[in-house]
Amino acid sequence: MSVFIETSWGSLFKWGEELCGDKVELVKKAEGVLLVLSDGLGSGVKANILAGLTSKIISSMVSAGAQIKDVVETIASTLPVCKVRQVAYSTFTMMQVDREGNAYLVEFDNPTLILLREGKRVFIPWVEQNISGKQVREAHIKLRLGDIAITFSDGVIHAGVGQLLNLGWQHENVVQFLEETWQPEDTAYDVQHRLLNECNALYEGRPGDDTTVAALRICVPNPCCVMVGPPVHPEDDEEVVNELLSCPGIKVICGGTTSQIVSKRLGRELSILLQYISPEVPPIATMEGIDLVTEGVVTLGKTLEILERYEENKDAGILTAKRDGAHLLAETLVEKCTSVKFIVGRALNPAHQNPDMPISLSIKLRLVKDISECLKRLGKPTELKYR
Amino acid sequence: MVKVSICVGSACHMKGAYATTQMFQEALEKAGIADKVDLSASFCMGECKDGPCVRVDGVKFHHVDQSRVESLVTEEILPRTQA
Repeated sequence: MSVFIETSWGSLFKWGEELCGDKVELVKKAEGVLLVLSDGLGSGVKANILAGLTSKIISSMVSAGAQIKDVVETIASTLPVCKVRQVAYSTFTMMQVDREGNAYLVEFDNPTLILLREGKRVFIPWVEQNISGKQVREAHIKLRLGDIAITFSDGVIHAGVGQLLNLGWQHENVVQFLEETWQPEDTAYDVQHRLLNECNALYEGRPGDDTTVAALRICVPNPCCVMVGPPVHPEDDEEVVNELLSCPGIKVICGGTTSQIVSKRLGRELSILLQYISPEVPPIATMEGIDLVTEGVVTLGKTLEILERYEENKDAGILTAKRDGAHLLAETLVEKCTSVKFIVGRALNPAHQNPDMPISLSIKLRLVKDISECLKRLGKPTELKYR
Repeated sequence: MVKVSICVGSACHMKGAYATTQMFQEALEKAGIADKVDLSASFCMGECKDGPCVRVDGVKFHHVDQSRVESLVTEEILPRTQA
């Protein structure tokens, strides 16, 4: 079975620095995903350049089929030498995973990556080799559904040094934290964000080092297709409705007129629930074969508010606080699917062409764009398609 | 049964459809005709400028905010239930 490889990463910049000395590079292809995390020597602009070069060289060369030996040799002979320290140095971790879950892992001098399977750390059969004087570790491992691989820069294990913890956070403490806080429904974003937040707390909000966490999760693909608004040309209605129906995962319609078009095209009854769950969000509707049908612009506005609150507080309770259309949509987009495609129709609603009307096409388009940006920040692959 | 449908589309919602739906249920109970009326909600009826819009047996009524619900029930819906 072809798996979905979910990825997410985040960084804390060293206190006072404007640039991060860690860099994550991600290459997504039909055959799989390649994620590289690199930590450049020092901090600020120099570290940023070293890490950027390293991650880019690795991701470009490995995606083009180069062997790791050649890649490491290229890095060793390419990185600029630091005037102060007289060395060219950047650590890295690479995770290459195909759609069958076969992972090729390589690491050099980064804290060793942690693989969680059902919430417990799994042993990785590392093989060490010396390439250009560097001890590089490689492993081939088959990942299973639900597995989460977490890699991080040394800012994570230094969190709290000289502040809350004398020696900082040790690697085994990080393992313990990840195991203890693991939840079966965790996404890559959940794990990454939780660990980074913990580091920030240990640093008391003033990180003493650049701190980066990247997570990769293997899951069953469950794409979500959201149809928002009718297409500009009514003759395209059928094609758009077919595109929605052909989505193998969750199907959502946002918009009263849009849902009426789908209902008419398919000859399926649209039943709007009379009961308001919350006064500020119009009721949802039901239609056979469609997982969620909501009103358009008001619901989308509320959904964006909910997503932004969730992004800020990272409390899953925010998504499920109520069962109105906006909360159901936010929960679907964040928790229930692995990717989102919005099919955004740009037809003008003639009934809205009035200066007194508080809603307009531009507001709706803006909301969908903002929602998609927010979902991307939450690590969700999101696509916007305009019709 | 008299069919009554309240528009809860975007524009009507913003013009007070929530209050209208709440008020309607109360007004039908008060008039003692709740069991003779099939009350439902509807998405956009295309009357956005003049919302909230309510359709009674196919006839549209505009600007039905909560202050107009009671008169609509007594003047338009009640006689239909007796017809």
